[in-house]
Amino acid sequence: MKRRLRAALLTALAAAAIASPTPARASRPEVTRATLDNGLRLVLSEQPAVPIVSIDCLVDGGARVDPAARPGLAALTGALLEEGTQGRSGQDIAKQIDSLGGSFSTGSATDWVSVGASVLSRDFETGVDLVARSLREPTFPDEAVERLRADTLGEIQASEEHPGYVASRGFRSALFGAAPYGHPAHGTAESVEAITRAEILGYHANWIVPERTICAIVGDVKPGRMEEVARKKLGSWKRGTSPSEPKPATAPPARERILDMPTTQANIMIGQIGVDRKNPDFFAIRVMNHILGGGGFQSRLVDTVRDENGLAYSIHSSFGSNRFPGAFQVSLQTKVESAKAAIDLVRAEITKIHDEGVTQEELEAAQDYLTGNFPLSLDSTSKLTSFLAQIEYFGLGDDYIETYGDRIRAVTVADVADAARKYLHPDALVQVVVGPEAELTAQGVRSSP
Amino acid sequence: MRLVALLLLLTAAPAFGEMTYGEQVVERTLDNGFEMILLEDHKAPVAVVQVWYRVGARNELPGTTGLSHMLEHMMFKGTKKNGPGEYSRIISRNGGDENAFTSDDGTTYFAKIAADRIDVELELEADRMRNLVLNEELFEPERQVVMEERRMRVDDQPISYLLETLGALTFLEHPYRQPVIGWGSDIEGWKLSDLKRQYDQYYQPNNAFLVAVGDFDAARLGDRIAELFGPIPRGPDAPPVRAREQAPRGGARVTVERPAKLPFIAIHHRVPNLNHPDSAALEVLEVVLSAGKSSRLYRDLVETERLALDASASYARTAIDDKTFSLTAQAQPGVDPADLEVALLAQIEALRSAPPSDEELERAKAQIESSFVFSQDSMFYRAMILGTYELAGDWRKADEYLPGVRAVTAEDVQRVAGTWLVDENRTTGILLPAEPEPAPAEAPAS
Repeated sequence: MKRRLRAALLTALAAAAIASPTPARASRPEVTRATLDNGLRLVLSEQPAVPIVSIDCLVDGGARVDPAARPGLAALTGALLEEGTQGRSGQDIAKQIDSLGGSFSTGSATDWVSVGASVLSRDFETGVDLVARSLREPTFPDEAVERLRADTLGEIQASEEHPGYVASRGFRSALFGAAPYGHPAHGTAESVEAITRAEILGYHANWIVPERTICAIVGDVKPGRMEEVARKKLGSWKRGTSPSEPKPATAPPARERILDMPTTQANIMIGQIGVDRKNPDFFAIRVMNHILGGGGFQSRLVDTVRDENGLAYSIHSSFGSNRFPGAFQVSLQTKVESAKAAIDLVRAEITKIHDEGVTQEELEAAQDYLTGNFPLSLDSTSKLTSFLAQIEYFGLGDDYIETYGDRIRAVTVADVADAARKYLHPDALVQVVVGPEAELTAQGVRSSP
Repeated sequence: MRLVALLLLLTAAPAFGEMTYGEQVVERTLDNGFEMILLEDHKAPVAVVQVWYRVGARNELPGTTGLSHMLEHMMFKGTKKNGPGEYSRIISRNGGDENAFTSDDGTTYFAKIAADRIDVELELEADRMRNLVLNEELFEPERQVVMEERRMRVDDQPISYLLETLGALTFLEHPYRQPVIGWGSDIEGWKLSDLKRQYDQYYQPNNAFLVAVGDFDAARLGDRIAELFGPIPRGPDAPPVRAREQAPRGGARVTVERPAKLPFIAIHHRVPNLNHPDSAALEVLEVVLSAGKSSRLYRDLVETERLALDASASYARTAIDDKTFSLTAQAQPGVDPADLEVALLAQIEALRSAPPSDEELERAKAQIESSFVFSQDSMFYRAMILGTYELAGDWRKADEYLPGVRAVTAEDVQRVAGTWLVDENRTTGILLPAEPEPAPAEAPAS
């Protein structure tokens, strides 16, 4: 009986079957979509296998739209959404959700502010109520503003002891500069000190509005009731007027930086500006990245840097694709004395895939994994919730799950070669290395403005 | 918060009239001692397979610590039949995800794969149980990889470095004092022969078991597992761990200075595991202290007193041997770690001198009850629950957990705090940010 998710995924798996000359078309989880009068979009899917329900709301904005002088404004605003709503303190909210044994959190990312809850399905209406109140009527108490400001300053300070974090922050700054995605989502100490409560209220009024909001609801509740409760709690939320967006970054020239830190390893990041999520070559790029360094233990970078040379425990590449073009990046850690050798190997692999593309065998192996693994990535209520929300957010189409396998299978060796030539730029890579500067410089790791 | 939920999952058991594991699991033991624990879960056409070997840091000897973890790495380096990397390549071609992890108590290999491909994983696991190829050409680069892993996880992470140091102070006699990844000097000193001995001693069907959760027919799957693993001959029994930690000799403390940005405190208490009648109350104590923003450590230390950026409690309930109940906290900027330590100890003292309120107790129990329901959303975590309990003695003990928790009274919580969270049972580790070294002398501006 409670097998709708199962049925949907079974067909998705059938489509993914290896070497199937005419793959069956996969159906998708049964999804209901609705748009409220105020512009808020709902994506609903009943999944009755476990008596729980997840609610995941994404509000377009996030760190991407932080004012230039106020990095961290969206993050602080997002964190404060659970620190008090009309008539209720943050502790009241915490006690309520903990008493239900559920979870509730508000926060932000580069492209959105998020509010989400997971509760037993018997508590569905309470869960939606918590989410709706946080979106609509947060009170931003002075005490909470000052407390979370101090917490954020503490987290910024604490994060400085993690070389991987320092590398990532430095890399994004070198890549995007003052444009969106260039600053850490939680801001800088200077900006967080300067944020005022009025600015937080302004962010909420301008950006956290129903027409920018998508709520995915997945779990053991009938879609009719999901929609009814969502309309009741969110239908009368008033539209706003969103300010204009900042412009995406333009690609910087080749650039190399060393950030001095007394570590035993060099933390290395190499990359460039990549693509946005709606890029028409997305599937060819995904296959290419999988072969280069995205494929877990199966990639050219792992073969070369880890398995053949023993130079790293963890090495990975990713093509971050966001609302605006994100970062293509390779990240790894190696003992300080092998930093230059590892960098040379990584650059050679980027150049090689750019110049020579991939083989038919590599292509097929990547397609087998990507198509076969896709249904496995949707096998739980929580994963399906965030996936459905993001399909809607990025406008990937109602048939995205259904057609994913076919679109991966349709990629050819020539498509991958074209994508590598078009989207990788071996002559314009940005490189950031965190480690002891003097030792790094002595072996030839460079630093340029 | 999500982390708290995960910790709870590992100790969850049925609630709300759900069936117990005992009612759902199919268990079989082969003549060679290999055991299988199979749980059908038909919500998606997927299966999780975990093969658990009863060997971890707990089984290791001074001088060759880290061998269990190194062997975990080598298990991906190929067998007589499948060459280096073939395991990962084959699983990947079938759309599966795979990995492994090593802990104090065990080593676990896992794959998540489409249910109709489960045989691929089973064949590969049966093959590498006894047919691993271990040679110098494969061993040496992987030793370097593990050195890099140690640098990344411990040497360049001040909090991990503190916890490794405190672990060695908390246990004098028991091998729980040893880090899973191994001491750096031991990693440099391993010989190939050490690794071969480790493999032959511990990678035997009678020292391993398999947990599978997913969309299969358990009886048929059991037959197939018997076909694949049954022919492997029973090996010698693994050497027993004889070390027993004796009574605490009094509190101890250590301070380490590393290039951290904020002080961090960890306080361990040596406490009994799930085999002791106090374990259910210790579990509730952990939840009262640190599950959710309404818990005591968050509400008092983080939100009200503003001493900690983060604070939590953790009880190692399912450890094979008696282990720890820990409190950890990272100081807010500008807070003297001595004040934070006083506040942490005051939290313990408060629970020793008065029981938690009825409201707190009910909330803690509700959190534990519902965490079981949430755990059903993930086949992987259901397999983790069964495997963790089996490693600790018997997977059936997973079913004893919730009834035990339900019976805990507020007075029980106070009593176990009074019994176990005491000075002579306590080791304390303090991480202090090291003063930055003076910049190298530049030519002075004149």
